[in-house]
Amino acid sequence: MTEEILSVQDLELRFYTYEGVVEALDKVNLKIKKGEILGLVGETGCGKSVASLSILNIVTPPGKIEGGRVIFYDQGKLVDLLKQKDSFLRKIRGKEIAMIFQEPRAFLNPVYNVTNQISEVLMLHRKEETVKKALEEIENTIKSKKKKPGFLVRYDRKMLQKMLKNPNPISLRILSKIPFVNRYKRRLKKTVKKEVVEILREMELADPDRVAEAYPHELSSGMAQRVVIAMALACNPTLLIADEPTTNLDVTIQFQILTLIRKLQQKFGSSILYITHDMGVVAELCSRVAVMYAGVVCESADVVEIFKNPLHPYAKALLESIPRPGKAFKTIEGTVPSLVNPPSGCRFHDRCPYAMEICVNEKPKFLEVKKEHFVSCHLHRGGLK
Amino acid sequence: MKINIRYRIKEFKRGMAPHISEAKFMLRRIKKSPLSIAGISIIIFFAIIAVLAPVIAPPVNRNPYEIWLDGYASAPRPPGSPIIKNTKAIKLGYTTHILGTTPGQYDIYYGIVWGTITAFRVGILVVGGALIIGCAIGILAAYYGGVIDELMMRFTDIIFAFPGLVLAMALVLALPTTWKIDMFFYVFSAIGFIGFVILGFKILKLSSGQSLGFGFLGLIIFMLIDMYVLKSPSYWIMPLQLAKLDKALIALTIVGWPGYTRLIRGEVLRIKQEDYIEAAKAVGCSDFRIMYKHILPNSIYPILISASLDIGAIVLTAAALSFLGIGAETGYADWGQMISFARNYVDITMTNWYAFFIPGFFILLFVLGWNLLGDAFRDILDPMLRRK
Repeated sequence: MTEEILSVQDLELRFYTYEGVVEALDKVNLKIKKGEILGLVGETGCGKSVASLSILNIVTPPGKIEGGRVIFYDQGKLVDLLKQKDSFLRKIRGKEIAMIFQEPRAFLNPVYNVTNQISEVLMLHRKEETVKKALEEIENTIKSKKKKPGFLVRYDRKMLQKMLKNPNPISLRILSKIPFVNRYKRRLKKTVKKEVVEILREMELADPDRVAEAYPHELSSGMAQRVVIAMALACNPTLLIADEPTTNLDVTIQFQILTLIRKLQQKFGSSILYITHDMGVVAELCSRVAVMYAGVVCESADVVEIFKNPLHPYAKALLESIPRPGKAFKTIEGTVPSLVNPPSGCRFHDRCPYAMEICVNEKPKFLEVKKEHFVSCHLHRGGLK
Repeated sequence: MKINIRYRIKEFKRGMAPHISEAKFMLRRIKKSPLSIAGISIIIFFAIIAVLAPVIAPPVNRNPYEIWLDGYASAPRPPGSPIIKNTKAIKLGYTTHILGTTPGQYDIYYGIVWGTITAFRVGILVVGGALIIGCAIGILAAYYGGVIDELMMRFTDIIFAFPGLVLAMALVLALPTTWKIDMFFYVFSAIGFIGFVILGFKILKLSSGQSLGFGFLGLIIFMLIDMYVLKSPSYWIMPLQLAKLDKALIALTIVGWPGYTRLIRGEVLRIKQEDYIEAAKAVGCSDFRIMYKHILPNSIYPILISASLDIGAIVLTAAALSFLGIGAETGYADWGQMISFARNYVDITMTNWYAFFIPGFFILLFVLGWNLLGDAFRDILDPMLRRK
């Protein structure tokens, strides 16, 4: 039995806009186990990205989380991320749960180069290790020279040792602003840069030294995506949320990024929540799939199970609408409902070929129909038999 | 050791390569437009005058900013007229009044040279102060939005509603020349600031940036309480002397910041929606870090351009205040005041042209220089214009 690391329970999220209240998420349930890749599938605007943002609790107004729980298993402890203080969440974000985004170049700050951006993550979450490494380097240079270390070297060492004891004391905060006194930061910067190049090399970038110096506009989107992945994986997160990371890339780069993600996942053993609308990618990469429609998770099962035996009508239609050669192109009739006034009962009922009276009136529950196969549909309301 | 230094220089050059190429690009842009060159050379000319002031116009009085007098006769004297009464000036090497004297016998040449320093000081201090206040308030307001935004921007609007020069005049007249501050003032306001920060953190559960802003509110409240309730004249400990020009500086700063606040607020509202801010949040940056490290560098350029254009305008306004007699003290080296001396001698015959024309020309040149420089800055820094 693999243990869960994240479970989203009955998450509700609304956007308070001028046109009305958008019920973006309605009782979303997700579970991610340790070391697995969960694919979150659904069409544009069904709330996939917002769901991932609310896991980190960084939904910006007018969006507001109205209910539900996001339970994260932080080193054996259960933590509800929606109820934690911001200071606690800042330690989780980037360190335990990291995120990769759709448009990598838009998610890199244009005024900083790659080294600066990755080192920010390192300094926020892995300061102690970096300081230790910098100290080691100083010790090594001292040993190799076999002389008594000079005043400046000793000063640097002393300051770094101080930093190791207490990462952010007031004295250092003031000293780090004074030129020449803050020279110890240069040692740290050097170490960080080495570290960054090392991380970039792991991302299979062709020329990590050059990329480390580059600004975001100088990178191709494939390179930028690798940099973003490097930023996300710099702290070996337990959960990686990948929000359509390969959507804007061409197919060869897409394949490279996918293999890279899988390789890194096997290496670090982190779980991945992979958000996409590309069923091919899901079949290739994921071990479990959750299908979303209009702010509701309608089906969640093993990847083989869902491709062979989809139960929810929407999941069935979605799988049928994948274009295949020699087959007529099928679409789902109707349009995606506006979430300002979502359909009553089951949100798919007005496009569903099997719609019944109960579908209009009552919301279906998210039930386990087979082992590890959850559906929210009135056709399968019997539950596990 | 030698190799090491060479290696270091090489490393440094390699690290600085993008900056160097950027600087070269800027230089090329500047070379292309003659107006930018004109602006830059005017400002460099004034800067040289300001730096060399003690050499080219050695101070005669104890306070170097006081223009030396040559008697007290009311009629101005033309350029090149001899020094009659001030023996100290003759000893220091002055032979004639190079640019004549103003009515009241202030030496124009000396006033022009030392007035350059005053002009630089007024322009840079006022714009710098306004920039800091404006940016801080604008970023806080735009980033947090909601009630904080509403309060701060309405306060900005109130100041914006007054005509700038009129409000500045009123403030100059209202500010006291000596501020007697009792120790309660310091202690009390410090307690207020710290107390409100803690209050924000603990009870209201605000984030760091918000509670810092909350702390300033506490500072102001406690300052007001101290000034109006706890009047305790026995505890005066430090009278703060304000020269007349300092009052003008404070007044212009208070009048000047709302423009920057509005500009930067708009810019921050745009930047805050950008994806990399979301990414910074997802990485675990604090609010303050996001504002300072991610939003500010992305939104500062339009404000810097506007500030560089404003330096000229501020100097002009300060000159206007001096002309009206509420800027610098009488005898202080200030171009506006020198024109004010010549007020009664402006006539059609232009017999005393030097008395008002020379300081006026220098004001014109200085303001023109800053405006051209501001235009050059805009051409260089604005990404929309620069690569065309």
